[in-house]
Amino acid sequence: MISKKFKLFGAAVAVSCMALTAGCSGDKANGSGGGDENVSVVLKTLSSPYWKYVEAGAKAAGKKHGVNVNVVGPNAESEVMQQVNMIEDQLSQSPGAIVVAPSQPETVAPSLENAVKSKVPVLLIDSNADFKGKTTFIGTENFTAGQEGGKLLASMLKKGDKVVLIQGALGNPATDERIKGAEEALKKAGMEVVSKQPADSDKTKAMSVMENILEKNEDVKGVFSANDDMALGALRAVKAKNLDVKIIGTDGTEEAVKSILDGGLAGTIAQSPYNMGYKGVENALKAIKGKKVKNRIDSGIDIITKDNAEEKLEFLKKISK
Amino acid sequence: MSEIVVQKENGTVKKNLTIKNILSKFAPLIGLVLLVVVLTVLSDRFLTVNNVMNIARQSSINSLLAIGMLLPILTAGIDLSVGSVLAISVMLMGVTTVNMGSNPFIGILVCLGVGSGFGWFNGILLTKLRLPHPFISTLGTMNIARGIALIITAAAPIAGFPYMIQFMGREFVGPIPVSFILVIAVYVIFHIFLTRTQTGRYIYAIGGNPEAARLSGINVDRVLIIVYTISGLMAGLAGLVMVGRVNSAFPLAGLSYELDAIAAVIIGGASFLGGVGTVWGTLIGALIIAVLRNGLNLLNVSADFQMTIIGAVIIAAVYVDVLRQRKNKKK
Amino acid sequence: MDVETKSLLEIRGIKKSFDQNHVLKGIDFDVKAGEVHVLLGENGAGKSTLIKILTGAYQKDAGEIYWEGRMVDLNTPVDAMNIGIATIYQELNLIPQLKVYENIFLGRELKRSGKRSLLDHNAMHEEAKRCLKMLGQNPNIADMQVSRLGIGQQQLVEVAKALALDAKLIIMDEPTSSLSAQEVDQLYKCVESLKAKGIAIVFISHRLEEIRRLGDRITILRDGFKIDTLQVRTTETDYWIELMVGRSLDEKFPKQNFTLGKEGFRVEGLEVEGTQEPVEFSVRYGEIIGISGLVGAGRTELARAIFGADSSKNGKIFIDGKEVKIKSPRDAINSGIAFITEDRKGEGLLLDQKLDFNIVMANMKKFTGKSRLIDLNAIREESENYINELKVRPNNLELNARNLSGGNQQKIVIAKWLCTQAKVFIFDEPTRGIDVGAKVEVYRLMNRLVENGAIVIMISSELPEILGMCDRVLVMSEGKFTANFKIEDASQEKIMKAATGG
Repeated sequence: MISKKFKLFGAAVAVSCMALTAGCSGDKANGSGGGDENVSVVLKTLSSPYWKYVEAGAKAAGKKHGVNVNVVGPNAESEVMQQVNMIEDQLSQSPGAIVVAPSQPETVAPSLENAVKSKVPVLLIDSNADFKGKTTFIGTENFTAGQEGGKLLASMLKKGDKVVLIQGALGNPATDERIKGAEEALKKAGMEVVSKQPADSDKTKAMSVMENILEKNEDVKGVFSANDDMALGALRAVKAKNLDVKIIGTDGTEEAVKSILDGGLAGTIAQSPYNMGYKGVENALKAIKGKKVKNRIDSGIDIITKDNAEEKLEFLKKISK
Repeated sequence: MSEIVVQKENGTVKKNLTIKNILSKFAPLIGLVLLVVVLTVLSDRFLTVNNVMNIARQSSINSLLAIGMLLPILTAGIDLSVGSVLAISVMLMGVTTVNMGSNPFIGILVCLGVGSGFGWFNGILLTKLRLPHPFISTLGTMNIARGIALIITAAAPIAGFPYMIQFMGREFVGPIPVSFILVIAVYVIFHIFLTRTQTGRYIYAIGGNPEAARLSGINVDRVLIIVYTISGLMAGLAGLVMVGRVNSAFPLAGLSYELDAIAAVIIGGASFLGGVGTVWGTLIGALIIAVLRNGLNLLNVSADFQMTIIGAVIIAAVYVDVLRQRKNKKK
Repeated sequence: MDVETKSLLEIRGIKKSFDQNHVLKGIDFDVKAGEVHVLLGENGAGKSTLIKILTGAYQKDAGEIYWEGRMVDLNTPVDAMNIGIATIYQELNLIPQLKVYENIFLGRELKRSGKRSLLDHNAMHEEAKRCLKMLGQNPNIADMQVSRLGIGQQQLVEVAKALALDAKLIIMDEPTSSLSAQEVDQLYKCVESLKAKGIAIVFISHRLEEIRRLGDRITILRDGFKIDTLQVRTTETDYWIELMVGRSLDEKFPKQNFTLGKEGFRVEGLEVEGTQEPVEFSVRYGEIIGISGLVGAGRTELARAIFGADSSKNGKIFIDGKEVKIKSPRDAINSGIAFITEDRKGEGLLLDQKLDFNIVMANMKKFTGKSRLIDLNAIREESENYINELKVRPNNLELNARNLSGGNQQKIVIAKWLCTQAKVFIFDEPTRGIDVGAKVEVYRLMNRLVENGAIVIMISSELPEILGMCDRVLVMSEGKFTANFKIEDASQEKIMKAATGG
């Protein structure tokens, strides 16, 4: 019995060792480049296509400039404290600079202030956070992206048409800003917003949200969604009812672009996640070398419709390899 | 003749029992030590003062939730609401101190009071409304509390807490985080509570056999209400520490924290069937989770992979428990 | 005799130990077709372990098992079932929500020919009826839900299950311990009819009268050894006991008589839930009152009502002439009432807690000082006293209650109530499932309680124990008292008559 228990523990330890070594080898694949400098990149999560593009951009920059880049992130954007822990754990390895996309901007402030105090340059991407001493913020203005989306949708519809807004998880500043921008643009263009509901950036939830909305308002003509996954979910609900509704997503993921080509989504407002990652690492390197970095860098947006979807898709396929 | 044989055997049985007792008692600790050794070998960054203090700090929130969770689990129950109760506690503390500008002490009282209040509510649902299992009542409370937390500020986070409130989550005494000192103090108090007070012992009695406890004159309902109230109080306290760490309260705070707390309690050797489990086992369980996460972060293991490993550890730990139970039953 | 019939089952030199604990130290034993072979031994003598080896639940460490002359391995319960060994445990293994015939065929349902997935309800039905008829039961109960049957009938369903399996050997582990006298009679008849059909039975029981009535041979185990195998008919009961406990017991019922004092306990107008008539009785110092009756007559319900464990109406309870208000077990304990429940595992013990905690559980207040902390040393000391006084074996406070045998577990429950310093002790079936030696110790303890000025009430289905230990017996039937005998006027027949309401 005793030996059995030892065996068991042996097995448990062996499992974790294997896991750890597997993790280590993964680590080497993760860290691209091979130079002396280390840049840590902590994202909101690594488990969605959008963040995979950011990761790809960051690594590409590392490769080009010969820097070690470690990209990490929690399982989900809602794992806020886990992200804070990851930032601390990265900082305890004394990287040359740290690039962070904060899930809840306020929560990362104390740890990042500490980083600044110990002279590690801090660069924010995607979502800004308010604290003293950060090097720069690289990102799209989510409000502007939303506005562009609203304008695009309005251009496809007639004045007075009914439109729907699908929000991300309430309290997520990025998706909230997009919806604000879109709402403003749509109202300005004279559209009637009949419903505004959260679907937590989740495709399935968006589908049921849309189904419920259509139950009441069969004559909805347009949808703006705060991300592409939700736009695709809404699209399914619309197709099931055989309605003609223009749907605009945000992010420009591969699946969304394909859908545009297949005549599904009407368009998407692409932020440039790849650019964010790339510019994040590039500017981190500048900061390490003591060069001056602008304190606000726009990563730009792309408006993708049927006209330019083909070339966009090829680019996405290239970077996700 | 046969009497003598029996005597001898009793002696050997006893000795044998003690070796085994020690092994099964310290199984989680052995696991933790092995884990530390492995990680020290794999990463030179792991066993540094700085990183150890990181672990101490990172484990504190889950340690506080886990010790609260230990009580319901000891009574063969569960408290699924702790993560959400943490969120509502910190949001209301934010509203009173940041938005309304009240005295920070009042804010702390609100935080702990709201936590205890929701815990008490769980206890009432279970004992007075006689909902069949705390899984159901606390699942309900979990959603209610999270919903209210989101409603209060229309999902916006609250930042900029006064120093007094941040103190526990943020400050250090020498190199040691105040939050970890708090954890140790709370654990000592819980140890005394569970081993040396009537109510503490009754918690074990109710978990072991509720009917026997009732027929022994124990006021089962009262003890259960205390148990869930304390669990809620600990959620509030964990929230206070969290606010100090990140200087903000947000409605999605503590999302799915109940699962880590349950995992810590179970890895620490407590039985889901109630009546079995210790304070120090729970601390070790919480540390095992924190050390694993920290170590895997240092080794840049992806979060998805971390989940898989922690899942495997939970199963392994419970399997040890099953072996122990099986051995007991054979007797 | 031994030469006349060949053995159906024979085992030689069976050994089994758990870790360092040798439970069986070389047991020889055999059973012949059509024979009732009784296994007798104190708790912990190794009976249950032996049985578990015969049913494939445990594997033997050494020794051989022969079935119909051929050596067999019984590695799993299925192996045992396949060669024709069936077991009826003390705790019934029926699923209450299913019907009788479904239970009988549980796990090996009959399928319609040619269709592997469809059940043949008709065939199962007919077969179940046949088995029930063989046991002298009404075959129509095959369609009833098991939960609607009494415990006795449920047990017979278990036997029917064994018959449906074509079992050649049926092991019965204390089958009568929870049956009423009537149900016991039914079971006896059933055992006799099985015997007549050539089925062998291994019978475990602590009830000496029933061993005498049913048994052909008896094997006595002690401390993991086989002491002897005897013919039941040609040996004395006292001799069995002597072999079993290793010494001669002076008396089975060590009744002491004390001078009768004034009335100490009185119940008036208590309406137990489910009965219409209020109940009334009183007990005087110096006497032991027995409450007898069939299972389900309301005896346990009455005790629970007195103790505040279930709700009751209008009742008044007096201790020493003063009325006490009891709304919960806590009130009862505070008034000085102790209730030693029938189901010690389910209602008395914390199986996974240490002995000392089990003992002080009902009176923690006593060990709680001004600091609000409990005094662990005082608890240990007091528990040790009880353990020594009641001769609990093994006398190790660090053990969990689960690790004790039934008799010793019962002593721990009793110790718990002694620790509350109660004045009134209500024992509900205090000797059920414990061995003769431990029984005598429980009886002696009752004597001592009475001697020290306590009121003792004993609920029991075992008439010899009522007649042997009590001064007065109250008989219950359908929730009311139907007789109140002085013990010298009582007899088994009179009590049974009153119990059946006749």
